[in-house]
Amino acid sequence: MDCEATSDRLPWLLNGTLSEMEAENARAHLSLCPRCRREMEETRRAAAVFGAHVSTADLVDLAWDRPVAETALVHGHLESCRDCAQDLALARESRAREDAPDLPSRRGAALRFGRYLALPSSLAAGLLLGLWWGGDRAPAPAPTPDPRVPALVAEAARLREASERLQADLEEARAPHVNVPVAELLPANLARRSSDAPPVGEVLVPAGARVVTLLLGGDGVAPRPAALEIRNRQGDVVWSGSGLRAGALGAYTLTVPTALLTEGEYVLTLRPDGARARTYELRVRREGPGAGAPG
Amino acid sequence: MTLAGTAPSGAGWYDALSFRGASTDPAREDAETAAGFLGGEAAAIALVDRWIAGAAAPFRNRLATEWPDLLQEIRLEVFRLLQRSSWRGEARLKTYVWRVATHSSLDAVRRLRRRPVHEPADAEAPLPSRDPSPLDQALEGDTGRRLLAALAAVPEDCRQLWQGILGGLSYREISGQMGVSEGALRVRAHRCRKRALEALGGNLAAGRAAQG
Repeated sequence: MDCEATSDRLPWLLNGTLSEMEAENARAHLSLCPRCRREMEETRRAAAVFGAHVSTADLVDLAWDRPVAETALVHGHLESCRDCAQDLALARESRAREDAPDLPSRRGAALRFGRYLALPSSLAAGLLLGLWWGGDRAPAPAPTPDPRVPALVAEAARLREASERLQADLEEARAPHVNVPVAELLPANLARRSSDAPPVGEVLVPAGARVVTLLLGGDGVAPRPAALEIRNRQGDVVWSGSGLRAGALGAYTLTVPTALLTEGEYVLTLRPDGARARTYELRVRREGPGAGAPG
Repeated sequence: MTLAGTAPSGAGWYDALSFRGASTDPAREDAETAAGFLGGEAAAIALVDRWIAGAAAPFRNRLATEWPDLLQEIRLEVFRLLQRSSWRGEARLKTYVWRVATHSSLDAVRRLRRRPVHEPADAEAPLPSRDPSPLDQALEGDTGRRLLAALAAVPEDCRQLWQGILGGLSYREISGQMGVSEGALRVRAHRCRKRALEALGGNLAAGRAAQG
């Protein structure tokens, strides 16, 4: 292949569409001819000119309505280049989507959460507004009440009350317990032998007391870990548990919520490991409101 | 109710809600999101991923099976840019990410559209590189506008002929389309090449004169 034939084929050598033989011959000639190699370089530069498009950065700037350098040149190219015009249309479509809401996002989640809470109240507010509006303007048509409104309003009130109760309980639990009633109990067999002790332990629970502390006295046997069961007068188990350990004086201690020990009589059965079980009898009385409710 | 809290450990709506809270300061919120994204916080990553997917959505049909790879590519690019502090807060972080994603998506579409230009030395290269070619790099800069100006200066028939060449058509195919002999077509291509170089030379000379 001579210089002229090689030079004429360089654009197609560049785009890879020459036949295998033509390409081989052209490459062979290029390896030997500096002038044709220069022409090859010029062909590459010409390809760069003919392959020029609006830069991606300019397209993005145009899509975001930002100024670009040499605007007339860029717009002139966009008018004649279908590819660039399509690319700009895609970029603009993308940019338009940026303004769409960010759901589900953290803000979106907050908004949705807000909507959940707002639904009952907004429905109720709408109902009230409707009533107010309708009350002053006699000819207004009777509003059709949404059957969900009363249920939602009631549910909102119930949830609010529950939340307030829980909050109050939480604050109460955080406060120290003062004036805790304490009942010192002796095992029933010992209590009955003693002439001074009452037949059963008795505790008077003041109004407002939240807990009762029970001291379960020992019988002189070396204290061991023990399990305990509390039954009411009807024989129902009120509470049972294990892992009780005696203190330095040999007594087992237990602090019980007063809600668990309503007024009445109870039998406590203590079962120290490897020792005989012992029972304690307890009578609970209450002062103030709630007194008299059987245990 | 104070929403400020620690980073979420899961992906539920509550986690999304409690993630740093709904700040009223956009700049601070953006800074926290960027830091969270770089720190691997699930909610920040999910948010940026949503932006990326939203920005790249219009390109999905064009890119077909390459679209998921593109999303991954953009995510890495955003990570790299944020790591290099390329985002300085001039625009909202969402806009910044959106622009990066749009830019990368356009590049991907253009890459796909462009047929590989076979260089004699690497004619056997199986696939075009995903990296920008020297031509792409030249087009991106100031030279890109000079090329654009040169292109505007060449006749329309030259542009059409070379569009066919750059589109990967053989000279037989082009001569068939244009109704000219193969020999005449090759001569015309040669003439157009000279016109383009002249136009480019004039622009470059003008550019040099303008610079000084």
